[in-house]
Amino acid sequence: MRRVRVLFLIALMLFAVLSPIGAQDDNILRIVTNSEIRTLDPHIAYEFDTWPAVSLFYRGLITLDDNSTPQPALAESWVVSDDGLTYTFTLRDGIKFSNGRDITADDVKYSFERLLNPETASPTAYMFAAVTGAEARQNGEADSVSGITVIDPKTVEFKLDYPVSSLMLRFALAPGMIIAKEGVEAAENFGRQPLGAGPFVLDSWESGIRMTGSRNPNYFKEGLPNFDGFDISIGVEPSVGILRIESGEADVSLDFVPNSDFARINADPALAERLLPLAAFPNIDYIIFNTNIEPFSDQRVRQAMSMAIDRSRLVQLMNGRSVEAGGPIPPSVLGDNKELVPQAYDPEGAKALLTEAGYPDGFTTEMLVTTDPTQLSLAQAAVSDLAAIGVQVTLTPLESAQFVDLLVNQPDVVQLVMTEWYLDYADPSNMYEPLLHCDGSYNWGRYCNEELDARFAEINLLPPGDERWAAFADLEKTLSELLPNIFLEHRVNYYFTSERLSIESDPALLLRFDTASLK
Amino acid sequence: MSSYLIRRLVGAVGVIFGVATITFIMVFLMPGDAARMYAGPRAPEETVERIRELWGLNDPLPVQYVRYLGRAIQGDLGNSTRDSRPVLRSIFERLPATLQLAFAGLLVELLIGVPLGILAAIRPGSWADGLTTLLSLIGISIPPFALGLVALYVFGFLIPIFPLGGYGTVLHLVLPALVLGIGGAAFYSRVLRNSVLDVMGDDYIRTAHAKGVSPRRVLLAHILRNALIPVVTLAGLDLALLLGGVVVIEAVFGWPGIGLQAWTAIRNQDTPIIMGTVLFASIAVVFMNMLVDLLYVTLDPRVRLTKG
Repeated sequence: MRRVRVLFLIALMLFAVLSPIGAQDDNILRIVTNSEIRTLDPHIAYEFDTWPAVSLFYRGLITLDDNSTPQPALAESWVVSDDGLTYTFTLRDGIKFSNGRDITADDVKYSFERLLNPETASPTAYMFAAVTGAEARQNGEADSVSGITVIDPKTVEFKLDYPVSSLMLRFALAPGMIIAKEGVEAAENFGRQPLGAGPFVLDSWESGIRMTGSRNPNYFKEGLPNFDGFDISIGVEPSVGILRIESGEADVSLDFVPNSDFARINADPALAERLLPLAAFPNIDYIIFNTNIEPFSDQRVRQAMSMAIDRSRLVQLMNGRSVEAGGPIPPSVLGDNKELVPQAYDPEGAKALLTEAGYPDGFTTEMLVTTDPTQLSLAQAAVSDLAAIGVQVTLTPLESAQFVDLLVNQPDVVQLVMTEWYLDYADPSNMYEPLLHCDGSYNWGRYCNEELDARFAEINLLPPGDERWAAFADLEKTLSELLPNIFLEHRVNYYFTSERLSIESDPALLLRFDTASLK
Repeated sequence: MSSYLIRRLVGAVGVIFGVATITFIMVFLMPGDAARMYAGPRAPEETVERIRELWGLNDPLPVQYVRYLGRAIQGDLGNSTRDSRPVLRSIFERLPATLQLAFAGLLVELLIGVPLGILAAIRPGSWADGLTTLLSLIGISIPPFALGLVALYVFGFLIPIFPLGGYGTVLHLVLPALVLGIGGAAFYSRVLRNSVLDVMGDDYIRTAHAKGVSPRRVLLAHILRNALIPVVTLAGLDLALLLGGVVVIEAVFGWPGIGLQAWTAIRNQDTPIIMGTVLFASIAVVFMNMLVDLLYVTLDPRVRLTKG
């Protein structure tokens, strides 16, 4: 009898051992992610992992296709006035929130007024600062946004104070999502109780462990999503996440493939074809100079330092996940100057130029960098290259909280900064305005060239089109000569998908969960 | 005994109050700006300022301190600045996972460490002695992060016996508990080996042998009763530390415990969570310390609280 019980126990244990693995034939999309999903509130979310999570539950007026061209979503059509100051959207017929209520123009107005409400404290509200009355709303001087008008239940109009040619793209991002008022009002914490018009609805969320959801029966795209639901395992270390996807336990990770795993996956053709390059957030890795202090105020010094860095080695360090940068605009963004050649590695020429500038023996300086392993390894490579021409750089790695705090609040201590920038949307203005404009919020080197700012202001009025892209390509050429920064490389991040999953990357919300399917 | 207890309790409250104060000061000495972290580097300064105002970060330090203490006494540790949820709720949500891992880890430490230590002591130079040394080497030289990843790769991916991290079933617990316990097991076995050897040389053991008591009984009833005392102390303190969360192990295995939460909070400058976790961990340490002391009294007749 006792032996029977022991055998039974062993059988039970074996069953328990084998059951969680294998058996993935149901129609649930399995997702893994490393960090707890901070929020599902589209007005608060601003991370690589929260935007795709937001896209599970919300939709905006428009979406972007692979070329970042606006396509209808909740709005079926729109008109932008010739002066670029009025945007009029017409909503699609029969669109509903996941709770079954019809979506009207009032919901659009409500959504944007909440985004701009100072109490929402949205980090992305600035993207719609050009809307008339947005500033008054943000300052708490107005209860509504005067520039947003409901014309009829299906038509809503946005008036701007000044034209912003990239505004259309911003409607496709998380801050442009349409939310249901009753959801906000009923929720104790709206970031955990989403109510929108996305492909899925939330079923359960165990903090830091797991989130599950099921198909939204009212989703506006007939017959989609292709999955009955999704199941997110939270707290999965990125390398372990890759193993899970490889073994078929999971389908996709919200985290990018770590550098170390990329080399292994890319070397195996069967695995490499399951790599999915990120279409959103084009990147630039660059070194900022404080051009207001010597020796960096001298263009020749900047030029010499740019020549001293071997960019091909940086590409190697990234295991081939990047291309050398000719200028600041990433190659996937329209307006990138395809004729610009990346600076050739020329330590001898750099030394000569440095001598000409009056620094035959080089000089010593300091470079700030975050403790992010990628940034740190790039910075170390740059520092050793610079040492070869006599520029001795002390590297100061800081935790990102400290890094940002220092740069925002004590800009005077900055000499050199190694950092990265991800464009929020594929418009070249999102590279110049925050990074190099005199008032740029991310302009940590405090570079200020008023002539260039005036030129930017002029070309930024051009509507999307060849003329605009050509003008920005020209601007990029000028920047590559003036060298306010050392433009190093454009990095591409990758997702890794399971064998059974077919999914595309979205230029706005990173992953297209609604059209994803099983092979 | 009861006056001793009362004195210990008063002392404990003092220690916790001190920890709360020191944590509060340390958090405010920490570089970085919680509001800026929340808003992100791209947010304009006005937005950040609004958030600071909203969170009361612009009030003078003493005002913030008194507010913090006042709320903490009522069990309100504030809300996470990252996901706006009450800190205490977050901690209690994570507590079961941490408790499970802590007890499982301790169990592994004791189940491996105690028998190994005894064997190593009664047979110096045997395989048990060698294994103790080997485990110590592993525990000291391989970082738990690497050991965890290797364990996952071998026993989760190559030979898929255990799940690839995560939380839920007993199976999920095995690998993290083993990785967590191996270093400790080696440590316990060394401590126990030495204390067994120590006790074995005592006069009363020789007497017991001379009386004709069986070697097994001498070992179990005479030697171990005394030799185990340091292990009990260590285990109690160990458990207290484990309750504060095991950051690295929790991170590798995706174990949703307090340690992982604290680690994330530090990176995100989520001050209320950091302060809440430190406070919680210190309460755990103080409490376990008291428990160990009380246990001591029952285990070791020489420690009687006459004068305290």
